[in-house]
Amino acid sequence: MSDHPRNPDPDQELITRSQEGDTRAFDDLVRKYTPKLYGMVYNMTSNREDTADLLQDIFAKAYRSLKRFQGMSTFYTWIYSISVNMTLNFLKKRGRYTKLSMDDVDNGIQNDPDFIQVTSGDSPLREVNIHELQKRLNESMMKLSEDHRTVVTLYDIQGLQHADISKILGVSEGTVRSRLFYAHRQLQNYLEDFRK
Amino acid sequence: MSESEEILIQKLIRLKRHERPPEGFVDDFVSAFKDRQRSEMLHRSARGLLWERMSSYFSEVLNPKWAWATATVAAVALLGITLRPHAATGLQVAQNQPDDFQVTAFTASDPNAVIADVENYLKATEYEPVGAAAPQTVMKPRVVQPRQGEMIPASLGNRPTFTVQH
Repeated sequence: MSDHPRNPDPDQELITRSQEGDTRAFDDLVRKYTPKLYGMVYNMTSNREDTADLLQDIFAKAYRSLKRFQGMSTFYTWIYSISVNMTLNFLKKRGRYTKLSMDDVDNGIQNDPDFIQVTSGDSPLREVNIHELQKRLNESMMKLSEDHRTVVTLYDIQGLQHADISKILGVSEGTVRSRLFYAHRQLQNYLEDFRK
Repeated sequence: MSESEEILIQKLIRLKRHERPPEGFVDDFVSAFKDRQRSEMLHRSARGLLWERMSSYFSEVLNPKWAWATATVAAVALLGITLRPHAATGLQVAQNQPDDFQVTAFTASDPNAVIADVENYLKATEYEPVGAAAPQTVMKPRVVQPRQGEMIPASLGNRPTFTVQH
């Protein structure tokens, strides 16, 4: 993802058609970005029902605002910014009430090198149940502040770069790095027993 | 926190990438979104449509630059309307001056000539005696005399009062 003005937005054609009223073009954008945005919202809320509802609202808002999108950033950054803002607003309204409603873990985790490493040899995780691990990770994420959870979600889980996260959140890259550092330190405390 | 510990935490957190929505979620979601869009368009009130169109129009027309320009023009117009009565009064004062009213600068190039002009002016002017035609007023004392058998207040007895006779 880059906002460099010389790089054309890969979604430009779909955006233009959508702005001209072609709903099919916008459907294609929805289809393209649903998996990525779903992951972001889900990891922020830890509730799949809330995620589905919120995602509907996000795309509805994006559709209504699309005529005002002038291409100053990529569509990717723009839709991510909308999603983060709406998710943070949702979390503020929801308050501390959190009911975990987790997605299934795909079978690919068994072959993930990271999973193999953290569960191999004399690791304290070697006998841990995958679902137990999932629950602990989600609970730990929900203990983070919303700002910290956002950067962990975007950087560690979604794999975005610091520069892109800074554009989405409207903060400096230094702030992104700082938040990540403190978030990791907190997660380390929450997951202490997994490391011993 | 050491670098290896931070990497371990990151690896643990990255495992959340394997959490996936149910099979067919995206297709169902897009379908639900289409239905919602269609439903919203059908049920949106005329007022809602008008509001959305106006919002969209003003958001496009009134970008920050134009908003400032519009605000400046409005402020100047308001100031003009506010100050207009005062401006009209000043104009009226100016219009009430005699046609031949002119203000000229006094230049005393020759003081003797000025003195001569003043003297000539005074000689040419006739003065009427002040009060010559005015009626004379004479103040005469009058003593109130009681008629026979008439009672008058003691304060007036044998005291002169003044009446005006023309």
